[in-house]
This record gives sequence, C-alpha cells and structure tokens, in this order.
Amino acid sequence: MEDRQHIKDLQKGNEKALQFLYEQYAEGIYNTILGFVKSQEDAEELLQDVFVIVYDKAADFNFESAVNTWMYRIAVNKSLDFLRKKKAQKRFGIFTSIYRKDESEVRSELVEVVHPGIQQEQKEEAQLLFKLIDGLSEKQKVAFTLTQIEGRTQEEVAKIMDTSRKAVESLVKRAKENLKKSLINHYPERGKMQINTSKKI
Amino acid sequence: MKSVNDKEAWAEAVLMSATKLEKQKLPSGTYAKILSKIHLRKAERTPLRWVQAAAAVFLCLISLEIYLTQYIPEESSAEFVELIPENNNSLYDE
Repeated sequence: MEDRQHIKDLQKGNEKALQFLYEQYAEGIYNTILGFVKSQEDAEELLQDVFVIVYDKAADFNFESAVNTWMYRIAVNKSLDFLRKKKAQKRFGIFTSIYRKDESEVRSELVEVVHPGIQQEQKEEAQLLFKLIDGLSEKQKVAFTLTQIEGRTQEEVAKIMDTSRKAVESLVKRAKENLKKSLINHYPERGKMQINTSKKI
Repeated sequence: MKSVNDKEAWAEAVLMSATKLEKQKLPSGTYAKILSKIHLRKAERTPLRWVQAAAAVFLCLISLEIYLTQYIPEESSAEFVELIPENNNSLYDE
C-alpha cells in the first residue's frame, strides 16, 4: 500500500519517493541482477538504469501489479537485454578485434566473470554451473536464477514472469534436468574446466 | 571409473551450490549516481520542450492558413473582389 503511495508521489515528480523505493528494494534488485550478469560493475550500472526507468515510467504505472513485481520485472528485462548484447559482442569479438589496435581491450571483454558471492572452495564448480546456466533458454534461466539463486518463491517468480506458478515449476524442473545432464557430461573433465558451453541446452 | 551414482551426486551438489551464494551489499554512492542520471536526462529534455512548443505554434499557423483559404465564406471573399475593378487590367497610368 505504501509502495503505491510512493509511485503516486513519484508521478508528481517527488524524488524523495524514489529514495524510499531505493532503500526498500535496491539491495534485492542488485543481487537479482548480479545473479544474471555476475559482474558487480555491470550490476551497479544496470541497477542505476532500473531506477532511472522507474522514475521515468512511474507516470505510466497502472497499479495492476505490485510495485516490487514491476521493479523486478524491469530488472530482469534489463539483465536479459544486457546478456543478449554481451553474447552478440562475444560472437563478433573476433571480427572486431581485427579492426582494433588494442587487442588487450578485446581480451578483457571476453574474460569470464565470476559471481562475487561464490565461496572460494566452490569456485570451480560454481563457475561451471554459471556457464551452463548461460546456455539455458531465457525462460528457464530466469526461473532457475530467481528461484534457486535468489531464493524467491515460485509465486513471486510467476508474477515477475507474468505466468502461472505451474509454468514456473515446470521451467525450474526442466532447467534442473538440463543442468544435471550437462553437469554429468562434464564430470570426467573435472579439474580441466575447458568446457565449451556455447551450445544452447 | 566413477559410478553413475557418484556423477549424479556430484551434479546434485553442484546444483545445490547455486543456493549458497553470499548476498552482496550495495555499492556506496549508487543512489547519488541515479539522481545525477535523472537530472542529466531532465536537462537534456528541456530544449526538446521548446522544439515541441515551436512545432505546435507552426501547426496552428498552418491550420489557420488552411481555414482561411478553404473555409472562408463566399460573401466575404466577394467584398475583396469589389475592391479590385475587373475592367481595368492596366498596371500603370498611360
């Protein structure tokens, strides 16, 4: 109820309302974005973009969904857009490197980013898991990341994804099955971690 | 040779590792950066408003022009005709 008042205040151009929303949701949204993009720098940039969009689009908010659901939806969409662009950049990285003078610039863009929340002793396994998650379909990736990494309930995720709880349950189940299959396939390669995960699962 | 159970157990353990990620704190100063982005966008938008206002005025003038030329009543146009004598086509006095 309070959130709706903040949006109404925001519609009147009250910046203080944005601060209230920021204090309440920014950390959760930041960790959600981090679950997708893994890099703290990129996550911070995207978090800023999310709140700029919230400020800009508050006037169009129709109060049909909860405010936090709307904000998380923006965050997920921004993260997916970012990943799509990054994937395209990677794909054409080799071609662009021909025209660039500084090759190290390209190499630094292609380095795999590690989620900062990964504990040291699980680093290799978690890195492999994140690579495999990147290979999932977008819907499976969102459902798995939000429920398993972020620990959100299926109901919450269903609202964010604008789908049913059953659909989320099925997406998570399929994502887990796909990930498990891929992990088993990579088992003999443990220790080497030279895995090609560019193929979509 | 590892058994299927070992592989499955390992895969399960890796899957479970996803739930054990440490939550991260917000970087300091992010809100100030958001506000500066918003203010910058506002400043960029202001000249656009003037362009929109000028376009609106221009549109009004064009509409008025169309109205005057298309919908002006015949009676009032006849008043103008009366001012110009039809039988005199000479431009200069001879």
